[in-house]
Amino acid sequence: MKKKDGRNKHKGVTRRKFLKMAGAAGATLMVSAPFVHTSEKITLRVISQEPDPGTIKVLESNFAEWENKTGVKVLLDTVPGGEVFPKLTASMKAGNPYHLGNELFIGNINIMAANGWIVPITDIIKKIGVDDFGPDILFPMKGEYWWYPYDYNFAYWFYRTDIFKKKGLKEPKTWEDFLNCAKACTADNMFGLGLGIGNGQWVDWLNVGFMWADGVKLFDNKWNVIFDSPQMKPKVVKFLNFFKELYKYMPPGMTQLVWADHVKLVVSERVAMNPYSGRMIEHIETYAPHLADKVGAFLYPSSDGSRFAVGHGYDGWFVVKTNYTEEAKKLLHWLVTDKLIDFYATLPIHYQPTRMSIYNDPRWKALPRVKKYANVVETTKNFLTRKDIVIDCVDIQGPEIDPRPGKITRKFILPTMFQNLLLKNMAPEECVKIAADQIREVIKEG
Amino acid sequence: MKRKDRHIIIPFLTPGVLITFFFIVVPFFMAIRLGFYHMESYISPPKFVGFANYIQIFHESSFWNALKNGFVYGFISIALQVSIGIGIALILNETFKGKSFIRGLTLLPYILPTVVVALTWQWMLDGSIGVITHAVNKLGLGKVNWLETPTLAMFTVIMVSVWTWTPFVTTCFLAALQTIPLDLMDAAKVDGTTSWQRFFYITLPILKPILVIIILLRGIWMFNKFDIIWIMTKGGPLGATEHLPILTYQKAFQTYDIGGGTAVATISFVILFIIVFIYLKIFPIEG
Amino acid sequence: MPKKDTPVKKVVIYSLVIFIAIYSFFPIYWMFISSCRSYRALFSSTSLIPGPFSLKSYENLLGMTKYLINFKNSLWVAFVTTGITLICSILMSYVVTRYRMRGKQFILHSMLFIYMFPPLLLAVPLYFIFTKLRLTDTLWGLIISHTTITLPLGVWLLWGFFKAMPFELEEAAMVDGASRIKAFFWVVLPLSLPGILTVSIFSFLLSWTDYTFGLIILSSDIQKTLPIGLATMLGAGDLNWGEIMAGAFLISVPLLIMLVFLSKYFVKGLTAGAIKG
Repeated sequence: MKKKDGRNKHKGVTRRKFLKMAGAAGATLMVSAPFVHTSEKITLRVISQEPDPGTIKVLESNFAEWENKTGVKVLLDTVPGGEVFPKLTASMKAGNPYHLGNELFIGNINIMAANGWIVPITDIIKKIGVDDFGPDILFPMKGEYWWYPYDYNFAYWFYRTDIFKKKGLKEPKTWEDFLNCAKACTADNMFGLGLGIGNGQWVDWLNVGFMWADGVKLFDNKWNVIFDSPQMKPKVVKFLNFFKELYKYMPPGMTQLVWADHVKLVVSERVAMNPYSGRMIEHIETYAPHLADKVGAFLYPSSDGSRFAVGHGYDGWFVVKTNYTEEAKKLLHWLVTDKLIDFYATLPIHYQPTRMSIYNDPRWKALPRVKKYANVVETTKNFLTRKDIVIDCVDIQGPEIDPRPGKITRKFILPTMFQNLLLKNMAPEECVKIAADQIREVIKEG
Repeated sequence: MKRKDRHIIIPFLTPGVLITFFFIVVPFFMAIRLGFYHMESYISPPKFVGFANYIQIFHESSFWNALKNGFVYGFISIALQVSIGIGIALILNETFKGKSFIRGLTLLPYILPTVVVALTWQWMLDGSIGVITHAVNKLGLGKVNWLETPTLAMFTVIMVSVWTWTPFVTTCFLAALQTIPLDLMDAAKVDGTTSWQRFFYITLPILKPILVIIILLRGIWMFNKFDIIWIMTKGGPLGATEHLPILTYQKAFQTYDIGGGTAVATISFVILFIIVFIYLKIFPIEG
Repeated sequence: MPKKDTPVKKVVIYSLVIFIAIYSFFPIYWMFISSCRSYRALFSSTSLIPGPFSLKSYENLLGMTKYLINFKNSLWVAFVTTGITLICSILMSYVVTRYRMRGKQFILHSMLFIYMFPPLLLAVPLYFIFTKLRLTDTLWGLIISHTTITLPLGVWLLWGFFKAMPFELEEAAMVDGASRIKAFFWVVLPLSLPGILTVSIFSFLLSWTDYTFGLIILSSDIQKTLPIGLATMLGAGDLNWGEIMAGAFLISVPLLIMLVFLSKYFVKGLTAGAIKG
């Protein structure tokens, strides 16, 4: 071979042949890449944060049925609650987005809508009938409906009636009562309660009901942060001091708790009381039926006993803005009409229906757990109409529905507040100030 | 290269070189390059920002915290792995029944997948029902919150890492110990030396070359280790166990500051490179 | 003749050995008995004795999750990674040790250099490249990323191995009329079986146990490998520690088997890098 540029002829040969081969290999790789994704048919990717195995099985069989009906393949991915948002982000940033999904907290949905990631499904909601939906669940933003909410997940306290009876305790009406109950129950290898303080949205759902009962609000009518205002700050500090006392009666490991761990603490008889939604009852039925008749419930008390609160929680379906938006919408409509009761049947107490017509649907009323726990169903249904209790959540704070409160939950501002208080032993006043300043930054970002 | 051998050499080298080139060399330079850009996602167009990412990172307290944590984790882990590893190797070098069985057994932690190790230890250290928590409590040391508080979390993560990777050190040392001539040891014993003297004046000098290499390899490995800490603590609580690899991951795959993430990784590599360079100057590897 | 150990020394040694054995083995023992302990006992008892016995955790794990699919994915990725690594590293190492060529030291030193890369340094641009090639969330993408770790290791291990193999054997074959390539296939390869086995074991191990690349490259449940699948079970709600320990144990079974039968190759591989390096 000829010499090139005076370079050593061997090196020149190697390099040229090498480059030729490299080019060929690269070209082959590019050409063969499409063979990695061989399907010609439409495949919809669905992301869900409902972890119940029964629900997953029902969804998967629904999707198989849909494929038979329409030829559209549907793949389901399941992640923990609150993780749909980052998973969806990742899928979009990688150029391979999900098409349909469900997530908890309208706050997450609002952020996605503001980012332009999801499409409104006003047509689906209107087709079903806006009036059929219960109060405080649709949360329209800018005149459009951005999700199909499929359950209310009210958070309230469950407790062991047998243990309370043994220790002569009554359902607490004030924070002092509550502390006494927690203290009395922390004995014989058991703890009073167990609230997670790790970075997750369960903190915004479960830990702060006490705060709502005491009339704490994050914003005023003009989106000014009043969390650390001279009027509000003492209330929050009082709450944090109360929480610090409660921490003594919790088992170790509270930074590691996630969602259903709160339920498992009760079911495994580690704690005497803990808050959650209907999933508590479903878990007891499945894993600890011997406890079924030993569990009662009460609401979050205010410090002075004048009011009660319930944590507002909710899950809903959304449609991502992709090339297959119409196909995803068709699938969604089918899931929430023909297949809705099948979905509810997997956890009927936990998936509290959002449409009043369901409560009267004979198929739903005939579900065994609905019949067995008729009183629970009635009580939580009444939450929808009661005016004497506070129902609130972090992501719906503020004068109108807006994506920014949702960001408070995504940035784990309240969990950080608890961690500062309990792990770094910072003064409550300082914890509140830091949280309030962080909230101000979120609001400014827009 | 002889001409007639070319027809063997080139095809033999090609697959390996191709893979190395396209998937190791090219990404390496790409990573460094990405540190000078700003990208919103993996599909959006990159914007050149020069050293802005680096300047930003040096101003962030999370970076310095991660750097500190990386060194703390790295140094303490290696120190413990080496000392415990030598200790176990010395014991296993003695004669006793079932020697080869026990030696195989001590390799167990090393071959287990990191995820299995992390989850099993998390289970054993669980605040409520962990068997180790329970035992420690029974010993009168109270209920320890292994992964709850910042200092304890780092301690726990170091301990689990040591448990997992010490067998590597042990195995290497055992093999090296077996190269020490028996007569040398016997002669020393006959001369009336104590065990300590024999260790420091015979064993250690012979082991020095191996020791140097092991510390180098383990050091690199520990500095870059991502999965064990991520699975156990995700860098928490409050960033107490967040080191440079975790910071890279968070930036590149959670907040999508891709330029920032690659900048952190590049800094991490440069630091490691400098340390290794200095190390090899002080302790050159022969041959 | 070595002095006989005193009884005191013997007791000390045996106690230390037993302690070391327990220290190494206890977590696996605990993992196993947790996986077959019934639900209620799992959360209330820390008894070291196995039982109350229940296979419910395994049932739940296999019936309610995609564990078997994850297992299949892991197996496929590990096998292909090992295959590619073997082919590339055998060929490369052989040529590098047998021939005098420029860049020989460069190739070897670059392998150590590559070893210093934080896997995350490579993971970001790899992910970027995979996005362009539509290889994200695919097993082939994962295979390629694993190979970036196993290939340098394979070259390093086999280099020492080939170096120690005397050239006379091939020479003898070639004198008998065999071509270089024939000598390679019929003489060198069979003799290198121990080295090949060692590289295979380590490649398989690195791929089977990888978590970092799986976390970054895979996202769909149906593509996940065992380590990722298992780790996500912890958060994804309704599974309990029993199922997780069952899953952990099942992942470890192939490795335990390999350890029992192939431990000397593990040892060879570990020491090869350190001693011969």
